Amino acid sequence: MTSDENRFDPLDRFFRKKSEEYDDIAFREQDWLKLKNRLDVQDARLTYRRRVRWLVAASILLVSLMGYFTYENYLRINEITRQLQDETPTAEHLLPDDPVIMEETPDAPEESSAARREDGSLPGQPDDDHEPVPLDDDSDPEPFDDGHDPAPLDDDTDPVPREESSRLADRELFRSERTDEMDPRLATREVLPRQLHSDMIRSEDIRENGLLSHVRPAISDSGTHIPSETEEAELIAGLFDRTQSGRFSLGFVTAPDLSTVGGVSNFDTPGYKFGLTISYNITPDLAISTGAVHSVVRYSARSREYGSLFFYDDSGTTGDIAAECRLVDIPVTMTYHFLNLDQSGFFATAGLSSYIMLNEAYQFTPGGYSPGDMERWEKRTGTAHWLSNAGFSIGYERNVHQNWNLRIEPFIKVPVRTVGRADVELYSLGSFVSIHYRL
Amino acid sequence: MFYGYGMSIALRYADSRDEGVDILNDAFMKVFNNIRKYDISRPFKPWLRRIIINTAINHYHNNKKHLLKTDIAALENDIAEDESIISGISYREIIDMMQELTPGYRAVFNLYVIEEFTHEEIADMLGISIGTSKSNLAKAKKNLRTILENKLTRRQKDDQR
Repeated sequence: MTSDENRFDPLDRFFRKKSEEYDDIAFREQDWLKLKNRLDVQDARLTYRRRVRWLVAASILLVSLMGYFTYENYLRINEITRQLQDETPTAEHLLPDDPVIMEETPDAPEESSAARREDGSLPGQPDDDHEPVPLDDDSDPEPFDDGHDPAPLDDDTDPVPREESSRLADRELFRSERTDEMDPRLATREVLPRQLHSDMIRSEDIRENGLLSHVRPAISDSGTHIPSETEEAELIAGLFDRTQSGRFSLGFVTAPDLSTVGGVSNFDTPGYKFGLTISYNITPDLAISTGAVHSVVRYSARSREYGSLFFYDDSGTTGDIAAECRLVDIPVTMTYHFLNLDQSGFFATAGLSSYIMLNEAYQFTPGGYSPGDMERWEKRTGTAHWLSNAGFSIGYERNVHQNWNLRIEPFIKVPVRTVGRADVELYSLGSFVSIHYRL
Repeated sequence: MFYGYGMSIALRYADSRDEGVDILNDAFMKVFNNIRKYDISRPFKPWLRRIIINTAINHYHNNKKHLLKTDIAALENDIAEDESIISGISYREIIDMMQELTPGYRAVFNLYVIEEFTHEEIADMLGISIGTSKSNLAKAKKNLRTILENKLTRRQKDDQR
């Protein structure tokens, strides 16, 4: 029998007609009670899940903050420790107006030797029996005396001449103890990272630290340099400012977009993306970024590929849909630079995106006996789908100017949950081309 | 208000009243959870109908019974041509007859004859081939004719007593 004959089959007509005569189905209270219990259990489950999610989010935030501050402190302590360990001042590296240095001119060795006290201590070394040498400022110096005698002068393991070793040890002790009462320049030098110390800045040090890579070299490449007081202050201020401001960067991104549902195949007409991002360098190789990317997504779906119960005709029949959605993608992404070259490098990213639906338009083809009928539904829905998609990419970036770099970044986004009015699992492919400016 | 309407659909797909209640309750849970997606400018019954049918199909997938019932011997009388005889059969009896079919035959018969889906759509929904859908429909109709004829024969014998 052909399909038309089936429609007019008396048996079919009989059953079709009888199926609508359901008046004798009596209501049973127990059926309603079963449903009521299920609804109560579901409510309790939803409340419990909501509470757990809040707790987990709060815990993650707390741990992240603690980890961040702990790591920052750890870096800072390491820098200071390294600075203190590596600092080995000699006569030529000391500041000209250092009050201790003034006593240690090249002509002074015999004089200072001759001026050594009977107990072997130097005139500049405070002890219980002598007045401390007056400094440039008028403040009373804090005595160093901790009850111990100075180091013996006949230590044969000291490679530096005895008098020089003593002077260096004294100066070291003096510097480490006097901070707020010292010359402000010296106080600043105590806490600055190693690279900013005036007598240790070398071009190699600047290149080592990526954060300072854009600094104009204030020194010659041949070695160390003793800046004047003004030059040193300006250098330190400038370096310090750049170090703090170089962690942020702004980016403008654009990309074509190929989207589909249910899998990574059968793409429809391409869409597009464009937007702004801001990123923060946690370390020179690791950054976190976010932004807002306006996207136009186009896809088509068969009736089994979308979960919405909205797309049906008056008989309840569903069909295929063709969709065009405008949304804002808010990504939160971690970027890791795994290969750094001279002026370029490679990086990988991973993150989660939230989709804010701006406008959804669907062309609906019903599956009933009117295959030519088309129906269109369009609305500014404004729904938010938080953390609905996970994104991954690998890219290449190149510095084109002091603070500018270009990136190309093929990406894929996979669904974590369904989005949109049609409740689809949306897959997207594309390649970002972006330009970034380091603030 | 919609209990009878919903039950009338669920019972056509179920093996028993209890299974029909399960299908209906599952369907109403979906209605409550997705009520925000319902467009109030459109009629509610088709939306509810669609949900119940989907739920019934899910039940079919979850509880597939591939055991075939014993083939019912077909009688030669073509009672379908005489609607005056069968018009006295109630809805409840119709449901009982449909519940005598195997789940696969029953699902295809409901979707094709009552819901008026095409074989292509039925094949897609049930995860079977179009040929299987057509074959199941033919067997369902054959079995229903047999069941109906048996019922009418018994009724005639009872009336004669």
